[in-house]
Parts: sequence; structure tokens; C-alpha cells
Amino acid sequence: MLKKVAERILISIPVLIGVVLAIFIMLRIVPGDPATTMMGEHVNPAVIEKISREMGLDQPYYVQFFKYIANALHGDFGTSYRLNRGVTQIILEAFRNTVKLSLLAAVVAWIIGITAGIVAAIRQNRLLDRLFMGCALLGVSMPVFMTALVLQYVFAFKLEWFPVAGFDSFRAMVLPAIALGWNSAGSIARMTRSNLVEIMQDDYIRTARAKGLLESGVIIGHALKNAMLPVVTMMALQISSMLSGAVLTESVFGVPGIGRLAVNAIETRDMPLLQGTVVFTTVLIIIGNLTADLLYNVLDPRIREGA
Amino acid sequence: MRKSVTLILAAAAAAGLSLTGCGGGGTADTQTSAAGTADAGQAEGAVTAGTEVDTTGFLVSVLNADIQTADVQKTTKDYEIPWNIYDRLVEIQVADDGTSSIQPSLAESWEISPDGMEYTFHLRQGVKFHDGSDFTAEDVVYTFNRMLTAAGTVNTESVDQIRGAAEVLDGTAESLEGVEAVDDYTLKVTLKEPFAGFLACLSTPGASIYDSGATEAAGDQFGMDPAVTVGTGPFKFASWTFNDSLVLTRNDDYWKEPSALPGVVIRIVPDTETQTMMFESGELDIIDLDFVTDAIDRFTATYPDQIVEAPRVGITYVTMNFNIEPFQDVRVRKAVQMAIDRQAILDAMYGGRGQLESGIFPHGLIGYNQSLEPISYDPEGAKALLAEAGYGDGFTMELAADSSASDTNTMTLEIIKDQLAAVGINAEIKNYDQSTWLETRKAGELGSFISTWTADYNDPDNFIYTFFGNTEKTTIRSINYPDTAVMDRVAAARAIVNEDERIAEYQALEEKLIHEDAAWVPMYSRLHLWAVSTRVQNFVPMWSGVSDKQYYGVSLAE
Repeated sequence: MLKKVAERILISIPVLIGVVLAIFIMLRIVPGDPATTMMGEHVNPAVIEKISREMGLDQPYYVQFFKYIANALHGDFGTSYRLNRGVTQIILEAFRNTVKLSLLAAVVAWIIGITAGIVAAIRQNRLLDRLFMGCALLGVSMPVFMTALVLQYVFAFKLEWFPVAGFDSFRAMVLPAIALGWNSAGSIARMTRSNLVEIMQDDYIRTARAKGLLESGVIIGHALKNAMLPVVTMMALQISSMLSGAVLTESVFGVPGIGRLAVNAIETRDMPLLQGTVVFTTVLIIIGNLTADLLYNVLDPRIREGA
Repeated sequence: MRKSVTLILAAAAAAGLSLTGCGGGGTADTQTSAAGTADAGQAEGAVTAGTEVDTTGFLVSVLNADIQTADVQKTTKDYEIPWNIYDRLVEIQVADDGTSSIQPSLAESWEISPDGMEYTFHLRQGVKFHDGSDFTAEDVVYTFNRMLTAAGTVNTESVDQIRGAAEVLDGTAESLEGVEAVDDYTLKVTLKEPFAGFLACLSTPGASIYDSGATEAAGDQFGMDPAVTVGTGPFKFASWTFNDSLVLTRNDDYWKEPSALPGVVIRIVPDTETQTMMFESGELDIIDLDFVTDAIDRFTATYPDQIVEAPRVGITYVTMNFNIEPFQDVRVRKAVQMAIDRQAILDAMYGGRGQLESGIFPHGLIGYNQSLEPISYDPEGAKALLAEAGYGDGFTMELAADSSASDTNTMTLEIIKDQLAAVGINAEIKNYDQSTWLETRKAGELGSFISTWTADYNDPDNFIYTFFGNTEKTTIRSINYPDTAVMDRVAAARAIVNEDERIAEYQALEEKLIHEDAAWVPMYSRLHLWAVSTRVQNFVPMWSGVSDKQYYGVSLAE
């Protein structure tokens, strides 16, 4: 077990360096340079030259890259060009909002997903089942940014039930949380339903029914426990898709989180900040996947070592 | 290219996340676009700096995005704090008739040598910085040198003309040759060539005077940590809670009458609806209606007696790149000037709040020429000119949009596109992300665009030299005006000592550039509106009508 963890961590190092290298190269081949962007309307070539020199942008790319890696290994991710503050500090602060958004979305996904899955399984092939599974299919097939834009247009812009953007009140958090959570809710609902339906045919369920238990007791007491196993692991795996979805949701709703930070950093060619966010999110996802793997091991005896 | 660059990178960032997500065999999403970005503001988490301040009795105002720094040498846009915590050698003052003049501030008086090269300033004695140290000529020498040498400084325009500035900037000299402290209260400045706008330059926020000791000790925390960010101004920088608020407190030892306000709280509120609600519920004393453009009519109708307005000394213009076919032909450029119905745009986009402009120097600027002939809206005339130039069937051109600019900007381009279509010109709007737009413009390769230049200092030089001062200037604005003889005259005009002669030359050049050569399309200058609460007294916008506010002189009724 420990060996497996160590192995996974070792493998993630080249992944991390590869991701940084990719974003590093991309940022340098696209047009637009940070010094010019900083100057804005007051563009002055002599000053642009001065700040490019100070930021080390006049050095060869490979020197810039190795310097970045060397500093990063010491925990120094540099200073944001645009915000004038330490990258680590900015990211950690923005991350609070991303966590809030992701947690809310997860709650939405789990509560709605599991409930809908159970109801659909009980009402198999009836109206509610069809309705819920339709919604679930829609959630699974629509990309997050599309869901976000549709929700924003209908409920914020047209109906004016919620603010169009922002993240400073509970009302403002509702739409982004649903937009981000719907997709996961869809897959959770579908999986819960299909597992339940399958398990309801099993022998031990027939036994439970024969004991004279109520149908609801059979489902909650016996079937659900086993049906939820794969669902739980799936929920852990969804952490990474939540994060990538958060980037897009945050942009649409103007949530001041990691995703927006990254998009703004791209627009202003704020290289240290963008590289920092990429490193940070990559690390998160590596940890998320590792956790999911371990969880899988713990929860499901069938795939424990040697299996 | 275009906005797609941002999209590709955003997608790559998102895909990077999904990519690593695949390692666990998960059901990672593969969204590939970050389209439809609703920008609510720049809020990005919250940092606390500074200490708690009792803000009872403070005036409350609002900004829609937090500042980057209060170190004015490191920004060319965050001027709200610098205007209030620092002083300059001289200040601009607006008289009741709207004319502005340069007044003594930290410099009590000055002499200019007959050749316009040497300025001797006699500095005010007894002025103290917020940390208690004395203001002397050494502080000015330090401030001007720091502008060119400290890491991260970008706001160098006010000292550009001092002898030796270019050498310090490119690293070949260590200190600014043209600045010298003769004694504690006498400062001598030598220019590299005569420049009539120099005093006006010294009144800009970029020329704010720093304390040599405190600033040096603060290092890169100057402008970031309120406790070490000191000036001589009427307010002290008391606290800064990032993305929440900035607090200024009265400087009781100010060398003039201390402010009537005990302090100012500047709230950071990106959301326009929230700002509006805050004003309506009495939580805000001053709101900049530029931040809530959709609600301007509602404000003017609801609070007719609480609106403060100021003309913006700034010109909105549309460029035509001389390097792009067919804008080499003056008839084509004139046709474009005549094809755009500027009044219709001003009415549609800004409720008519503003004035049409016909040159380079807008209303309110020294050198504004009211007898300049207006450019008339004449689509038929435009068609005739196009036919004469051989473009009777029209041509295709680019309208370059910066995707980070406001919706108003985009909608204005849409109107221009339609108006040009009416004379047969097929204008295509092309979206660029901000960095690409700026980079392409700097390279001189950007198509036509609309933008506004607002005065930094009250002198025609600030406008004409910026766009037509020399080949480099006109290239980095993507105008590429080719007539070097005219540009040499623009540069030479800086040295004309006789004020009347200088203004006459500027007006002649303006006529030549805009009316004879049709080098750009002058559009309009707009009014700037604020709403104030009933207790606010004597709020006077800056002379140039910009968003930054000076709180000195403002008071609150009991």
C-alpha cells in the first residue's frame, strides 16, 4: 500500500514538470507581452524595455524556465505582475472561493443526485423516473460552461431571481453551485438508479422482503448500502472534474476563485500567476486522484492488493 | 490572434486539469472553452493589511476594483490614493470660469531661465511627511531618481524631459544628471531640451513627492503596506483590506488647513447592482456613475439635485492605419470621417451627455480651438469621395475590438460598422484579447480602433505629441502617420517659449493633421457624472473629469 502511494507520487513529478513546461511554452509563443500589457495606454518603449529587463523577460526562455523551477523548488512562485503580490498568497486566498463553490456544487450533486437516483429506481419506468433521468442525461451531456450560460440567461437575466454575477451572498452562490453540480448530479443519479435496480433483483433483497419489511425499509436498510459503494468512489473521482468545471463556472459568474484568477492571468499575460495556478491545480488533482484510488482500495475488498 | 488566444490558453489550462484527471480513470469533463466571460470585477480573494481604524464620521465612497498599489511610480492608473496622500511641487487649480492654472504647492515659487532649459524651485519650509520627517530638496532628488531606477516603476513621464533621464532608464547612468539640490530648500532642474509643458507634467500624480528615508526603508512594501506609505498630503493612508476597503485618515499636521473630513473609507464593490443599492440605502456618499452606466438615467431622475457633473478633458477617436490599404488615400480617410454620425452615437450610447469634437484638443484643454470647422456627417459626400478614390464599390476594413473593454465600446463599434456599411464600406469587427490588442497596436499593425485619451496634464502637448510626436509615437498607436515634416513641427513646438506663438502653432498643426490630412476621426468628449448623498458638500471633480477623486476640500453636513 505504502509502496503504491510512493510510486504514484514519484510518477506525478514528471507530470507536474511537463504541465509547467507546456504552459510556459504556450505563454511565450502567443502574441502579447506582459510589460506592454502593464503599460496600457501609457505605452513607452524605453520603459517597457526597463521592466522587461527587471522581470527577466529579456533572458533566453530556457534560462527563464530553469530559474522558475529552481525558485519553485524553494517554494518561491514569484510575484504577480498585475496584482503586485506574492503568487502563493493570491492563490490561497482565491482558492477559498473555489473550495466554497466546489463544496456547494458537491452538496447539490450528492443530495439531488442520490435522491433522484433512489426515486427513479423505485418508480422505475414511470413518469418520475423518465423525468429525472431526462434531467440527468441533460446534465451529463451539457458542458459546464453551457449549463452556466443557460442558467445565467434564464434565471438571472430574464427572470431576475438571482444576481447575474458575484459570489458575496448566498443568493449569488445558488446558480454557480447548480451549474457546476448538475453534471455530477446527473452521473450520480444515473449510477445510483442502475445499481439499485440491479441490486433489487438480488436474493438477499427477496429475503428482506420476505421478512415482511416495508419497501422503503428494504431500500434504505439493505439495498442502498451496497448500491452506494461505486457511487462513493465516483464522487471522489469527480473532484478533478469539479475543479476544471470551476474554472469555467467562475468565469461565467465572475466568482473570484482560482479559475477566474487563471483566466485573468491569461488575458494580462501574468506569467508567474498563471504558472502558479497551473502548478497548484495540478497538485490538487494529483492528490484528488490518489485519494480516490486509496478510497477505492479501502471501500471495495474486491480490488484490494493482489486482486 | 484575436480572442481565440485566450480561449485556447483557457482551454489548455482546463484540459490540463482534465488530462491529469484521466490518471485515476475518472470521468473527467473535457470542456474546451471558457466562452461567455461575465466580468463582474477584479475581486480576487481578500488580504488584510493595516490596522482597524474607527471610521465614525468618515465619508464613504466606492471603487469597482481594488488598486494594485499606492506607489504611484508603479502604476499608470491607480491614482485615487496618491492624489490624497501625496503632494506635488505644483498643482492644477480650476477657477470658477472653468479655466485651469498651475499653482504653487510644495514649491512656493520658481524661476525659468530665458532659454526654457533651467528651472529653479524654491521649496516650502516646515512641511512634514506623515512620519514626522522634514521635507527637503533631497526628497525631490530622491523621488525623481527612484522613478527611473527602482524595480517595477513605470510612471516616468513627468521626468522624461529632464537631462539624463534616458540614460538612467536604459541603465547607462546611475543618477539623474539634471536634478540637483542646491540647498535644503532650493532645487535646480535642467531639461534636455526646452519643454513648455514641464510644469504641467510636475502636477500629475506620477510626480508625487516621496520621503527619501521612509521610502527607501520601506523597500517593495512602499505602496503596499499603509503603515510605511507616507507622503505630505492632506490624508494619511491608514489601512488597506484587499478587495474590501481602503481607509484614509486626516493629516492633522497638514501644511495647509487640515481637511474638514476626519477620514475617508473607499469601499471596493465590483458589482454595479450592489453599488446602486448601497447608494440608495445611504451607505455611500459618493458614487461614480461611470461604474453604473446602465442606471445613469435612473440616478439623474431620482436624485436630480445630487448629481455632480464635469466635462471630461479627453477625446474619443477612431484611428485609420496609414499602413493598411486603402487608408493611404486621403479621400478614403475623409470619407470615413464624413460617414460616421457622431451625434447619433453620442445620443444612443451616452444619452447625449457630451460634446462633439473636431480636432485633437478637446473642450477644456488649453489650446482648444472653438473656431475649428466641425466635421459634418455627410454620407453622400463620403460616397462621392470613395467613388473618386476608386472605391465606388466599397472596400473591406477591420475594426479592432479589445475584448476586455466595456460593452459600450463593443456596441459603439457595432454602430460604426452599420454607419460605414451605409456608404459601402464593409467593416469587420475583429476581437482581440487585451494583451494581443496592445501588442499588435504597439507594433503598428492594428486595424482601426476606437479609444479615448484623457488629459494627464493641461497642455496640448499631452495630446498631439502622444500620437503625432515622431515616427515611434505614431507607430505605437498604429496610426503610422507618414509626414515627418509635420511631426518635426509637433516636436519643435514643445520648445516655443512664447505661449501665444506655441498655441497658435499647435492649432495650425491640429488643422493640418485632422482637417487637411484626416489623420484620425475625432469623435466626442463626454460628461462625467457622480451622485452624492445629501450630506456631501463641496465635492469638486478633478479638472480633467477623470474618475479619481480628491477629498481635500470636501465636507459633510452634520
